[in-house]
Amino acid sequence: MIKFTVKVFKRVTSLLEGMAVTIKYFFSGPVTMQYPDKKWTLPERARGVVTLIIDKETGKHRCIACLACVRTCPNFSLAVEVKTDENKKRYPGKFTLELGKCMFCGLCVDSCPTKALMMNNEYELAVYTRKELTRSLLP
Amino acid sequence: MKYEIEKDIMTDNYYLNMGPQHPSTHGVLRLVLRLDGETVLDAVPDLGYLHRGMEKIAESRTYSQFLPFVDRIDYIAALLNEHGYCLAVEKLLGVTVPARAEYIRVIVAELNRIASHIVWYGPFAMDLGAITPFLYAFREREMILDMLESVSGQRLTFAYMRIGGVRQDLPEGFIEKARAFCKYLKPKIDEYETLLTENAIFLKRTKGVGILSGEAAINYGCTGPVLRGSGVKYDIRKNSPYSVYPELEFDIPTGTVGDTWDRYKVRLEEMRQSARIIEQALEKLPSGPIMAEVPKIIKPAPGEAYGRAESSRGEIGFFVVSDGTQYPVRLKIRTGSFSNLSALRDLVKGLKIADVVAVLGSIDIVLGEVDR
Amino acid sequence: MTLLFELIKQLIIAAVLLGFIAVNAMFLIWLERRLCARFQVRIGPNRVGFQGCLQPIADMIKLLQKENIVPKDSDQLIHLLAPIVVFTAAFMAYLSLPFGPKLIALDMDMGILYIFAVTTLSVIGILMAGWGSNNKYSLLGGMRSVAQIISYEIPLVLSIFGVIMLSNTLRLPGIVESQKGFFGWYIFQQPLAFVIYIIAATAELNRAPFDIPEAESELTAGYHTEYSGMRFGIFFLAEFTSMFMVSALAVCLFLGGWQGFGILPAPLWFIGKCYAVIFLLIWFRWTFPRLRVDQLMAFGWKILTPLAFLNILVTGLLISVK
Repeated sequence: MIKFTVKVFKRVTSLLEGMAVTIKYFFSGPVTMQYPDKKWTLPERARGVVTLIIDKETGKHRCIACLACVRTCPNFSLAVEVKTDENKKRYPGKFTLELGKCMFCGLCVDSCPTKALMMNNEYELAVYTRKELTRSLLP
Repeated sequence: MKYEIEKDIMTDNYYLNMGPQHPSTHGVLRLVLRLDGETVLDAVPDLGYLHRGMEKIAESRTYSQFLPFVDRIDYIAALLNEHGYCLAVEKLLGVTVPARAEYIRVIVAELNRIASHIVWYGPFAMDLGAITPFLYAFREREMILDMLESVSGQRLTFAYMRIGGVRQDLPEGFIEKARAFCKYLKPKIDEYETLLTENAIFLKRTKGVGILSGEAAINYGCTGPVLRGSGVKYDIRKNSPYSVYPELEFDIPTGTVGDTWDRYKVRLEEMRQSARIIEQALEKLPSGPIMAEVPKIIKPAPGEAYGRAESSRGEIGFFVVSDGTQYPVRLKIRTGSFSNLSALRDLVKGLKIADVVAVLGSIDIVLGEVDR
Repeated sequence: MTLLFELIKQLIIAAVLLGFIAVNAMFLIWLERRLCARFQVRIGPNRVGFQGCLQPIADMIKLLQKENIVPKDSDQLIHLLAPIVVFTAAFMAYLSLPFGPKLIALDMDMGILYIFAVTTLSVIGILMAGWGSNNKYSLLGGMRSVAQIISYEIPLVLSIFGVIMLSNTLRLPGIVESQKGFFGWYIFQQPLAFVIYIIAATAELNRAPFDIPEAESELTAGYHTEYSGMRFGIFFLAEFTSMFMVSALAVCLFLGGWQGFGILPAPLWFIGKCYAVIFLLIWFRWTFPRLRVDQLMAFGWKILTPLAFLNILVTGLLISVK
């Protein structure tokens, strides 16, 4: 009989304890963020869209069109058209990224021998047409 | 001739399609239920709605190219998958990973395990009708994801581990943050328990529901919390140790009966143990390189290797066969969810519809892992 | 002439009540969403209007614009009528709710009995919705709902017997008037009855932890799975209408009705108390898991009903001793 009473008491208090937890948070205020109004600062390493690093002063990039990134991309989302100038130096004539195929793994950035690529902090990537998903990385 | 009663009204069994569009089949699982009123006579899982042909994709990718795909097998515990895959390829190559890299791997993997169990806890509570615990749990998960993002650069599909090490060293301030988080998490887990564990309604819904005996669990090939909930003390981290787990102290929580409640309790306890592992690993973190000497183009010698890790849903194993080229000839993925799900049919026979949801939730499947 | 006058009067009363219900239900929808958000450490709707208070109106406009999808092979007439039946049942109960002294549409001698008789009718609407939708989830939800409401009706009615025995009347204003002063409230004389009433009322409302007829994780949406547009909206409206009704009844029976202690007018006291009870219901909903259908039945018949009988017995004994 005592056991039974204790059991019933425990069952009832278990429910009340749960209610105590929820009411505690009721008064503690929200933890969510109003997204489009406020935006969070991404960490330095955040992997957004692949871009060519452009030197601000000279406006040049370091790409030598070696195709390492193209070969390493698991989803074949990068395309480079190789051109050679008068000194037989290779340079990219076209450098496109298919955002729809990209899975933001960062393997291309790792593979680049001249560290010409980086991933920026862009994350709002929704677009209206399929065409806009193809981006040219060259300035 | 037992009884022959003429009935004016016929009663009949009927079929109910639960899924693939259903709020609590955790993705695109389709369960064909044969019902007698509310009682389940049979439940046949129908798989394949999320099949992406991972194993075939692997055959046309190099070893390091396949790594981002591994994240997408079990997208909730991506780092644990990566760990298993890296172990397999490293075994094939015969590479030893530097100690610091292994410690970092363990830290991030255990963080990911906590996050993964949180993703189980919230929806499981939701399946049982309690919606609020879900949001409390996701509040903590957000912190883990923030930390993992600061390490790897992504929040879900990390692609952080590399064959032979990890991509980058831990960022500045991470160790303090992780320590503070472990301290913060423990009272929160107690709070989760207050909300459900001893709750009278929750006990009614889970105690004695969907009992899976230890023997049956082994026969079905169940691993992970489902097996341990049935009272079998089996954890790959202990039973066939890999990485630096032998140097760390932790317990393997087990259940006694093998019902839904036991599986629930095992997972909650595992979150505590993971926090314990992280604290120790942070303490012991050695300095040194984070990458082993691995050639840029990986061409393992012909042969085969099986690497496995304890994922949050059971054993995740990669069987890799190499013929000496830079592409694997065959890559077989063994996942915990798939084997665990096969036990469902026996578990739910004779239960009510509401129990199907509870049992399925307690098995904790990720469809990406079931279908691959 | 008098007949016409009477008719116009009736129509005005109906319109006022309907207006009150609509505004109140919309406010309740907003309140529930905001409160639930607070329980879940979220913010909740805060875009439309001040603190999102116009959100229900925006939702209503959206629902009105939506196509009414009627499933193939469904029982058209029944499918169409079901939401109206459910709403009417909830609406009719307002007829004898005393919002204040003399502020009652129809002061019946058996007001309380009338309310219970009318609200139970909503079962028919729910069963119609379940059957008429030609959907197994809906049917299961309808069946569950009928079983649940019928079995919880018994402890619900039994729980108020104690109050009726104490107050000696079935007239709701009479019951309210018999509770004099703060300690005269029947909640202090009938605490067990109040607990039983609240539990049974939660079950009557199909709210968590007894929301098995529309358990979204099992039956997607239960009996209103196949409803869309404004017909779904009417189900929603009915739900909040009866939610207010049930708490209003709790206030009348146990919490002293419109009687207050300050300068505030009586109807405000009444509505304020109702919202306090509603807050309790919301608090329940966002804390507890859901019971299973057989456990729900067992709880109703094996625990609540005997307890309610016990309450009647003890009350009767105490009255006769006095």
